Amino acid sequence: MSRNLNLTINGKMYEFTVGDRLGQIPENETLVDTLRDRLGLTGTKRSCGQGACGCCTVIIDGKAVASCLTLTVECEGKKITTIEGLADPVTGELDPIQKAFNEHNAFQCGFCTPGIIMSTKALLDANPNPTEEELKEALSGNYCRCISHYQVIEAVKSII
Amino acid sequence: MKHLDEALKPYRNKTEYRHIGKSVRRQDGEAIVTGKALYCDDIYIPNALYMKVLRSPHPHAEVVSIDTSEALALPGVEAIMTHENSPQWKTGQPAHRLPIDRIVRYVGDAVAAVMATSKQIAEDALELIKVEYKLLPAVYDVEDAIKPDAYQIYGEEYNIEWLGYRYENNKLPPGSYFEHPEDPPFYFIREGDPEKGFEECDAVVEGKVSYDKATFPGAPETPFIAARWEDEDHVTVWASSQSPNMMSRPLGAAINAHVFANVPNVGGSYGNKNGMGYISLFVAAAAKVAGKPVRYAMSKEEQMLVYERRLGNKFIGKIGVKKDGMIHAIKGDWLVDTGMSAELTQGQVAEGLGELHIAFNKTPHWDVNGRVVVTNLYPVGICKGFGGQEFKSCAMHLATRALKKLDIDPFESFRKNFCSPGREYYWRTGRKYKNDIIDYDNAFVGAAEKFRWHERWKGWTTPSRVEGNKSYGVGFGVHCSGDPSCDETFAYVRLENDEVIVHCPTSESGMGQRLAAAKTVAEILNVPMERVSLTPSNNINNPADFGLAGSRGTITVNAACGRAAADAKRKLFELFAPYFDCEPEDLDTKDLMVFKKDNPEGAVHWNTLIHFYYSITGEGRMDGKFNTYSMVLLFVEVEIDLDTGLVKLTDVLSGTDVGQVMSPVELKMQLEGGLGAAGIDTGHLEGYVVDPHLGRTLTGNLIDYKWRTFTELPNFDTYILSSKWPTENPFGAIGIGEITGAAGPAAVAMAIESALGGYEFNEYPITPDKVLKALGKA
Repeated sequence: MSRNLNLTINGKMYEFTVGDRLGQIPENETLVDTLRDRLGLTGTKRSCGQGACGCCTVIIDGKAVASCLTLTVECEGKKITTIEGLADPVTGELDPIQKAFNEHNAFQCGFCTPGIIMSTKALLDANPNPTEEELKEALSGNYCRCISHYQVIEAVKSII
Repeated sequence: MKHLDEALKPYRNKTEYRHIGKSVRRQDGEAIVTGKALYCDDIYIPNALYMKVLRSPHPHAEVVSIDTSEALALPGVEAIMTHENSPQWKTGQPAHRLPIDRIVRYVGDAVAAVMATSKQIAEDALELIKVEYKLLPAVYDVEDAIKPDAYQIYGEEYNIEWLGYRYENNKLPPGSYFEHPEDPPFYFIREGDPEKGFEECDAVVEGKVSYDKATFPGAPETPFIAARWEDEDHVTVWASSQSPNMMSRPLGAAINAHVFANVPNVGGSYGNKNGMGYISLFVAAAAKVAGKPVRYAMSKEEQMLVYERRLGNKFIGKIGVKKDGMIHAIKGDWLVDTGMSAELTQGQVAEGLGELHIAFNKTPHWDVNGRVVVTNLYPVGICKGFGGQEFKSCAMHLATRALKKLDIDPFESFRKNFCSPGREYYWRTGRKYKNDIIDYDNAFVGAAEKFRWHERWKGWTTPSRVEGNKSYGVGFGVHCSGDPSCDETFAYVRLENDEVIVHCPTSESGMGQRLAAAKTVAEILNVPMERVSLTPSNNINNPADFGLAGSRGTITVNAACGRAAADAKRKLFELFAPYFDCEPEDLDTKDLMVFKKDNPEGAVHWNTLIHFYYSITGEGRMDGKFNTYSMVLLFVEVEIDLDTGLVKLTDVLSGTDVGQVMSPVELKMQLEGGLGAAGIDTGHLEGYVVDPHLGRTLTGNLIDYKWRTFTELPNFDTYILSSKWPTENPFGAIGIGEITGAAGPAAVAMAIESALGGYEFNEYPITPDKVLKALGKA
């Protein structure tokens, strides 16, 4: 017996069935795989697979979450936002955080950038005027090996 | 190219540019912040099979039998590669490593590869493969490995030979393709008479310093290779490589096929995803066996446990110093642990020797020998710092013992010993090269002043300051590389209708070199940045170029692109000269308009003569040289908690002189990047823990391998001079990214020792347990 699974991703409704047959979402599938491999939302990056690096960060019901540690079947009825869902859906205008990162070249290889932007978005939605310490704390789950941290802090400070 | 250099001359002496030196948005910036930027694993490859690899649990064993029948019967499994059906291609320097061997040589070595229609099926199939092993003796330490009675990790049948040198006592033959064909391998420096030199010294020290804990370069995007055989002679490869040619040329030679290499955005590399020699060979072999395209994205654990790490090394030697601070004599063995395989470790030995020779450039007496030793640890690859970081962390640290004996300020000593204009230095071919002009002394002086070195350095046995239970110390290090002008580079620039297209295979792995190339071309053709685009990074639409290594992009790529732009401009003026009834040299161009210099009002658009289907192509090249070296100074302050032994980096100043700045934000981030990629932080923080009995890495994941987060950033300052060096970069720039972290470990060690009143450490990283021992608390 398969059951239905309804996900809201970037404002769109998706209806899946859960099970082990071809095309179904198995119970053990993580959200990062669903987003990337089923929906083509490849802006969310697969990296450490252990919730350590933050490259796969998405926002679920307002909170920044590691999608590599989240089972897709647990997301029934939840509101999920990925990096592809930050721009205005009608005008296409980028979120101020995206603009600030681009204007400050606040990335090097850019692989960890979507995750950092999503963590920043969750922080600023909850706390529009964070201190630098609060910002660093909110981003402490996002690794960046190129060391773009200082430039990221500059970029975010320019909009708060 | 001389006429082109003449055309480029005016650009060298300008102080203000339209694009160069300006902060400009990266062309891929919007794609990166919106998640649209494509990295290898984001790309769909029709009909590609997923691959998972069964890996050895033993450090050294023979596969006596392997049964894949049950795994092959699993629905969805299409092929399995083992040592029995793997192509017998070999990679390594010199060639010694098969895609899959009958002998496994480290914990994690490949035993079988399953190709299946989904990742899950491939993974499930691994558990159905039955393997019987016969265990063999294993060795993990370089000193043990070279003992005469040590077990030989590669037997005679491998016939490992290079230029008449053979594999012996687990030592690989010296030399690589860096030397000129007629020259012997470069693996030692012998000059003067060290014994006599030591007699002339005021202080001589002997000892062993180890920088031998494996460390993780740590690109966030794991290594990825996909391969699709088009026919017997042609294979298309998608690679997360920093340099398509450095990956595809050796691969093509090893598998006797033409490789079409595609490199989309690269999620970090730090040199580490340049050659990708073994993994590319492995996937090409798997695709051959499967008869279908195969895609392989390593897991993070695989990247950390089996992909290429930074080399480990020890220096066992003797160094003598005179009382004026001059390093007078140096002698010793540099033992390099390359793990079970070497891709270009011998090249790292050559460059490491050269880097020490630039740093100790006035030392008359040398007898230093580099040996590349095979062990049953996981293999070494390329990583920024490239031999020099590892070697100098040991050799320069040992030298500080002698400076301490004479109470000499290390900054002043290293400054005096550093190569100055007019002097020669060894570089990677084993020949000597001369620095004609570049003088970094102003950068030494200015950076020290900005860090307040002379005020903060209180001597070898006195902390910089003590506050409660916190002791602070400062340290200094300098690093250099002779690679910034190395290797041939070619580029084309096309003018078509209303756009400029640059052909160079430069990839984007974070350094902003595609941005720099576009800026150079836009500057010379005097067009807005948005009119310039680069072809995708691959080796089929673009002419040859070694790739981004040794900070060579800033000079070589921009020299080739600059000359190609100048050539295209010359051809543009030749095309328009009859139209204006004048000589080509009477013309100028701006914003895609051509005009007579004495009549700008009469300007016409390029497309007046460059019609819809018309093309002008300019060609540019640069011949590789070794006559320029980059330099980065690192000043650090550490804070030591005297109760817990915790070491924190509190203050860093990175100083350099880059000539003309190409991109200020990218330059600043490259300097800050010294904290990443197993750089500065390998002094006190980073390093794998390996079980000394089982040879297993115990910290091969991102939870157990500790590195720096947003909450642990030191104050980071820079000191950047722009002295307009006469390099072949059209604007007088020199690259520095390769070495921004390299001087870090030794600087951190110096700072820690000073904070602890002169306690001496001989092993990196200096972790809290070692500090507590030094404090008599453990």
